[in-house]
Amino acid sequence: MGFPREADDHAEKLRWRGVPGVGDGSKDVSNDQQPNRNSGAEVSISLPSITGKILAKVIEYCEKHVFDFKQGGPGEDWDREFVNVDQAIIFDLIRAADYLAIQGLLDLTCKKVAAQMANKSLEEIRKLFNIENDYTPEEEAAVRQEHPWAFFD
Amino acid sequence: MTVEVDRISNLPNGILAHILSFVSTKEAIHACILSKTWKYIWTAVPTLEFDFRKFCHDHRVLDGNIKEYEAKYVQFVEGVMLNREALLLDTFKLNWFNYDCHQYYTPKSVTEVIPRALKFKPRVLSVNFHLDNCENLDIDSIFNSDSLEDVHLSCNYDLKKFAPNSINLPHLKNLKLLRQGIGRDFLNKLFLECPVLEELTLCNCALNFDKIYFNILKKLIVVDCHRAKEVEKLEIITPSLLYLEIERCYGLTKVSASNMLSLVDASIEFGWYELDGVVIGGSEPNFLGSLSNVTSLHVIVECEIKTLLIICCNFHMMEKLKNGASNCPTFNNLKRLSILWRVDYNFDLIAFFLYNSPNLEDITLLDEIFSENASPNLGLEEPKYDLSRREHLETVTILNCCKISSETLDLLSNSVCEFRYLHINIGIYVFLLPIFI
Repeated sequence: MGFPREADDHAEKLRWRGVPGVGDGSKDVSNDQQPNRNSGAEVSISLPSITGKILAKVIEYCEKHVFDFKQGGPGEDWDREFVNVDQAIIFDLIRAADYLAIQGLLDLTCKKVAAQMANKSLEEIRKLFNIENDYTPEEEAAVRQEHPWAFFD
Repeated sequence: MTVEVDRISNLPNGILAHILSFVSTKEAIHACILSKTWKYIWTAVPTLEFDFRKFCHDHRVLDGNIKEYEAKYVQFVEGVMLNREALLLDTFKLNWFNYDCHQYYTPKSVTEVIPRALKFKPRVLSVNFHLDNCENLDIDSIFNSDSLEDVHLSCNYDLKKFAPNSINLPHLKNLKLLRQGIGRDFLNKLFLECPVLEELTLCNCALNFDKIYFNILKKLIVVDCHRAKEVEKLEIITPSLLYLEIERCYGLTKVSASNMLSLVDASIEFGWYELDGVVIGGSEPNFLGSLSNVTSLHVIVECEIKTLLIICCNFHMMEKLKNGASNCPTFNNLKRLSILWRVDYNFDLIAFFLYNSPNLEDITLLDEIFSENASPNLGLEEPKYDLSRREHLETVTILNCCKISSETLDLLSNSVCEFRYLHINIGIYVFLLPIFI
């Protein structure tokens, strides 16, 4: 169940053995090769927007979780350590997981971001993620008025 | 100076909604103020969770102000339900009960939210109510949903009297019922109309049926339940079961099961309970036998061992075992055994399992016996039968057994086969005696 790969920074070509339950391995491929939809077969996938570094992380996740259905995953500690990385990497992982349809990785990374958002004031969240508040004070008041039931405390 | 980049806001909306599905519903809505990008994300979040009790706790709402906050929270729930996109919902959780005038209750406006939530076709439903007047809950809408896969229903609801008129749950895999009265008809309907049900948990329920019959059920948990007076026995027919747990069930008499060939793991409490001064037996003969395929077994002993073993498998024929004749089941696959004693222990149970489990690897012994109730000879009785040697047995862990005497320990370490570690945790003292043979 290996992931032999030829990688270069800009266009990764991954020989992806469709792993049941981890990605569906049936992504659209580059022009010269047709996808083979049988799981277990080799599929060539062109990944123009994923760097080698992120891809390596994705593969690390998949290799650890490939036997989840049979013998359980590597455990919460490993998962927690896996997402203990810079913000930039987390968001790249989210995009990669979404594109490659790896639900487990998508959930793990999104939960990590959500945990960082939870129990924080709006200003703290903006600061943490560098979100620019493009509401004018009047506009913001108007949004609050639209849903008074949500802002009762 | 590096420019800090907002990497989150330009993720696709679907992913932002997915991230918000992991924060509380209230925080997800408040996120609309973060920036214009975030204004409508909350309307697409596939998870809704309303917990009034948690809300009161978080905001330290005083008893006097509860009514006021309740009114506001009801408006909040209504607001969310009305203003979210008419998109499908994945998970809907509603946890609501209030204590007012010495009575638990849930306002009608809240129970009415359930059928509306179900229109969004959620996959997971979790409802925790306190209902004294059952008519308010539209129970049929819950039991006739073609989208629900996972249902957790906790409310004082007598399903025997107010059973749903029909059940149709084609995708239900996991059902957990708490604080309900459950009748035979309901259970039968459940079997017929839930073709893919894999897990069933009954907790704190009144059991008004004598048979649990599910062909494909994989996991069955019955805890803290009590039987209705009219019911005398409980027969469990679950040929595909992988995991069985029966604990703290008052008056659960004459439990029997057909041989569960697929069973891997079980945790069973064997107990005798008194009802009106009459001692009632807890298991049918050979109930222990129906568990004989397990790999991992946890036995909770709430009764006299002798009676347990005699009733469970004609243990008094143990003498004949030495000559090969046996009525007792062989636990061929049993690797891990743990025994928790609540009443008097002695070696017979350990001897029994050692004899009948050729592949045993691990034993854990634990007691919760209060010293006042313990018999004076506790732990000192010598086993009547030799403790068999088991070549795979590597670890014997003894926890919290304050009353195991050193003589007993000697017996155990001398008569049981080569085992490597003997962990003893007596209160705060931890002894580690590696024994190399």
